[in-house]
Amino acid sequence: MEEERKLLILYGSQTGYAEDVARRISRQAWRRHFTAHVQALDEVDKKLVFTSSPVIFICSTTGQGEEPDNMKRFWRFLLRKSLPHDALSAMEFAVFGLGDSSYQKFNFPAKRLFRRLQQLGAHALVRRGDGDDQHYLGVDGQLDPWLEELWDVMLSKWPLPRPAVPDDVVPDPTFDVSFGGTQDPGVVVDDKCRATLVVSERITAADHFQDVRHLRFAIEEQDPLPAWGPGDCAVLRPCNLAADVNEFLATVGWTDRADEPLCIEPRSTGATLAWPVPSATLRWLCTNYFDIMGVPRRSFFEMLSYFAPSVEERDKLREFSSAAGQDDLLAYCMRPRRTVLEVLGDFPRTAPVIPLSYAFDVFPVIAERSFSISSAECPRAVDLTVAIVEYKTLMQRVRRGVCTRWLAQMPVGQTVAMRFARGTMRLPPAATPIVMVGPGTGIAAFMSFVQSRPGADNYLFFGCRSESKDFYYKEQLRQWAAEGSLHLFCAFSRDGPAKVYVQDRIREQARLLWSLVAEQGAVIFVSGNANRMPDDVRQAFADVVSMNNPQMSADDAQNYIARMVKDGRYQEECWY
Amino acid sequence: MAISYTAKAGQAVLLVARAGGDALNLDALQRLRDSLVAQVGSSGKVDFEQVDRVEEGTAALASAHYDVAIVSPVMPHAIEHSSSVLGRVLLALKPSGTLVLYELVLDTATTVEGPPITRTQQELEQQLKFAGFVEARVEVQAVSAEELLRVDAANGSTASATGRVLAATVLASKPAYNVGAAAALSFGKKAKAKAKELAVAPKKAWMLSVDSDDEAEIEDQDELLEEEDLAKPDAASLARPDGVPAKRKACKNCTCGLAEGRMVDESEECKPTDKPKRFTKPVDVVNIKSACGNCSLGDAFRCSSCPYLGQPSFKPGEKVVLGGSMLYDDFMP
Repeated sequence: MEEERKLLILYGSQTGYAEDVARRISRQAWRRHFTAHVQALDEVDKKLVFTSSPVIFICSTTGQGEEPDNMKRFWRFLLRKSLPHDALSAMEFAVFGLGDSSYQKFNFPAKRLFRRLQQLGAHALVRRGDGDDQHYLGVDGQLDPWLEELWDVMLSKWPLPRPAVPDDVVPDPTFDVSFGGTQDPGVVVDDKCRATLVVSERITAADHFQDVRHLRFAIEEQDPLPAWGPGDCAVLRPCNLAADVNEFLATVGWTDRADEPLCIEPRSTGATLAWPVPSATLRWLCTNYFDIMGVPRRSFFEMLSYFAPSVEERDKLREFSSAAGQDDLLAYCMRPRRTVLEVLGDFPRTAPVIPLSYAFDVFPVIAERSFSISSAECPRAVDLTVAIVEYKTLMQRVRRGVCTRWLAQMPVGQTVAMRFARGTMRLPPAATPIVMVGPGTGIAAFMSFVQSRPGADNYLFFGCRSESKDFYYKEQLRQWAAEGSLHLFCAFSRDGPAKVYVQDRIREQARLLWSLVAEQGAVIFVSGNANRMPDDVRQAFADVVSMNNPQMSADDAQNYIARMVKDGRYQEECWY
Repeated sequence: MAISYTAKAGQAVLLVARAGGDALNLDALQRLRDSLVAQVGSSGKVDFEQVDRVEEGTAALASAHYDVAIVSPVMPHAIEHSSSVLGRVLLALKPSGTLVLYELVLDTATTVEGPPITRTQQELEQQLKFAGFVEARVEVQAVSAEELLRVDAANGSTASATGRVLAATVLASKPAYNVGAAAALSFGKKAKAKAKELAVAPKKAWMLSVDSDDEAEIEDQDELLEEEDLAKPDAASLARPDGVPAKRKACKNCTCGLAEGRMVDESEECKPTDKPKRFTKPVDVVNIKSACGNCSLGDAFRCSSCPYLGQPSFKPGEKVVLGGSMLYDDFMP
C-alpha cells in the first residue's frame, strides 16, 4: 500500500510572487506523487503546522526587510518566548526566500524564519535558498538549482512509487466543476458586517490630478456591534464591474451558460476554495471571485500553455513560463500592468478552450484590501479615506486599481460585506503625547487617533502638494487645532518656490520634538504611502536627536531611534 | 471576610496567599486553613505557600500534586497574580485540578492610583487562558468601602478607588492531561512516524493558546541572525557564467531607462516611482505597414519597437475597438 506522501507548502507573499512560487512547487510535487497543501502562513491552522512534516516555507521580503503582511501574525506567534525548544522537533523543513541583495536587509524574513525554526528543534532538509533579484536570472537563478537539491533529498527520503509525471502533462485540477448545481447563487454571510455606503465625496479639488474620496459606511442596525478601535482597518473584497465581466465571459466563451448554477466538488480532501463560495454561477464567479482585472503571474501562463491548441500560442505561453522568458514576461505583463482579460485577448485560440474544471487553477482570486478607518466616534460609522488609483502605462487603456475603482463608482445606498482587522499601531494612554506623521492618505488612521483623544497632546505633521488642492480634512483639522485637541504642522510641497515636506517641518520643530520625546515619553507614529517617505522621516527624527545632542554621533542618534522602535515608541504603518 | 470553599475528604489542597501585616487577614487565613484541614480529613492535606515565594520560584511546589489551589482568598485581595504565579500554580495542580482565585480588577480600562490593580476582568480572563487554564469562569461583584480602605492601608496609599474596582472570583480548571508529556523523537526516515505521533500525542499546554492573538512576550528577531546570514552574494555569483559582468537589473517599475537598455550611470541611485512612461502616439490601423507581419496579433507577439504596442489585437484593416468598461465612463459624477 502506498504510504501517504503529504507535503505542506506555506507562503508569505506581499505581491503574489511568493504565492505563485508555492503553487508552482505544488505542481512539481504532484508530478512526483506527493499531495501538497498550499496556504498562506497567516491562514493556516497553526496546529496543522506543528504536526506536519515535511513543510516548505516560501517567504518574500517587503519594505525595509520586513516579512509580508500575510505572515506577520504567524511570525509573531513563532517568536513567542513560551514556545518550548522542542516544539518543532518532529518537523523537517525547507525555506526559500525571495529578496534583492541591493537592499541592506537582504532576505531577512526568510533568514530569520530559518533560524527560528531550527531554534525550535526543526530539521532542515536542504540549505536555505536566497532568491535574488540582482542575479542575472532574477529569483529563478537561485530557485531552480535549489528546487533540484530539494527534490533530490525529498525523493531519497520518500522514493517515487512510480515514474514522475512528465512536465508537459497538465496536473489534475483541484476541483470538478460541472453544471447542474441545485442551489441559488447567493452571498455568503460569515463573520462580516453588512455596510451600506452613505457618503462618497471627493476631498481633492476638482482640478487636482488625483481623485481622493471620503467614504462613510453605516453598519446595519441588526448586525452585532462591530469591535474595532482607533488605528484599525476595514477590510473589503472588491467586485468586478458588469461590463468587464461580460467582456471576459465572451472572451472565454462562457456567455451562453453564464447563469446556470454550478456544482463545484473538491477532488482531494483538504482542497478548499480561497474563501467560502455558495453553489454559484460563472457570472457570479467572474464578478466576485476571479480576479479577471488583476495582473497575472507566471503560473497563469504555465497553466494556459497546457491548453493552447495552436503551436504559436503554445510556444509563446511556454516561453513566458520558462526561466529564460521571465525578463520578457516582465516587459510584456508586469511592467505595463496587463490584466488577465487583456492577456486572454492576445491568445484568442486558447482563451475559449480553457476547461471549466481548471478555472480555479488558472485564474487568480480577488484579494481583500485593507483601509485604515478614519473615524472613531461611533462603531457603526466607518469612515475611509481612499485615493482612487488611476495611471497610464504603455497600454492604451488607462490602468485602474480594482478596489478603488469599485469604490469610486459605488452608488450611495449599496451594501457590501466588510470585516475589521487590527491595525499595527498601538496608542499609548491619553496622558502620553503622540507625534503623528501622516502625509497624504497616511492621515486616515490619525483622524481616528485624534478623535479618540480629544484634548490630549496630539501633534500632527501633514504633507501634501497644495493647500488648496489636496489638503484633506482641512476644516476638521483646523477646528481641532482651534479647540486645543491638535497641534498641526503642514508641508505643502508645491505651493512655494522650494519643495517642503514633512521631514523639513520635523527638523524645524527639533526643540519641541526633543522635549516631547525625551522628557514626556511621547510616542511617534508614521503612516502613509511609502517609497522613500518612512526613511526620510526616520532620518529627520535622527537629525532632531542630533540637533539637541551635539555630542552624540550620527550613529548614536540612529540607535536612539532604533531603540525607540524596539520599545514601541516609534511605530510605522506604511504601505509599499 | 474570608470566602469559604468546601474541600472534599482526601483532597490535596494548596493554599496560596500573602500572610502578614494585617491581623484580621492572618486571622481569617488561619480559620480558612483550619476548616480546610477538617474537610480533607486525615487522608488529605492542606499546604500553605506565600504568594511571593511562588512568584519568585523559591516555594518548592511538587508538580501535578494538588486537586485544588485556592489563591488569595482573604481580604484584602490586593494582589495582581503574575503569569509566573499562575503558571507555577498550574504546574502544581493535577490534571483536571481546580483553581479558585480572587483578585481585584478594574471596572473599565482606566488606571487607578493607589493599589497595584491594573487589569480589567477581561484581561484577567486572558491571562488565565494564556497561563494554560481552561473553562475559566470569572464573576465580579462590588467591593465594599471597608475592604477598599483596607486595601489602601495595606498598600500605604491614600487614593480611593470606589466604584472603579470590582472583586473578581475565578473558578478554572487545569486541562485533563499532563503538561510536558514527552515521547522519544527519532529523525530521518522515522520523521513521518514522529509527526504522526505528535498529532495523536496529548497536546502540550502551550498549544492551548495557539489560536489566540494575545500580546504575548516574543523573542527579539534581530538576535536570530548569525554572522554568515548578513553576508551578501558577491558580484561573480550573480553574473552570467560566460564572464559578462553582472549588470544592475532594472527595477520592476523602472523609470530611469535601464529597463529599456539605456546606458545608466551605475553609481547613480535608482529612484523607481509609480509613474511609468506614457505612450500616446496615435497609430493608423487601417493601413498598417508591418515588416514582421505580427502587428495585428497583440503585444505578446509584437516586436519591442512595434508602433501598435499597448493596443489590443485587431484584424488588419479593422478599426481597433476598446470593449468592456471602456465603452463608457464608469464613474458616477
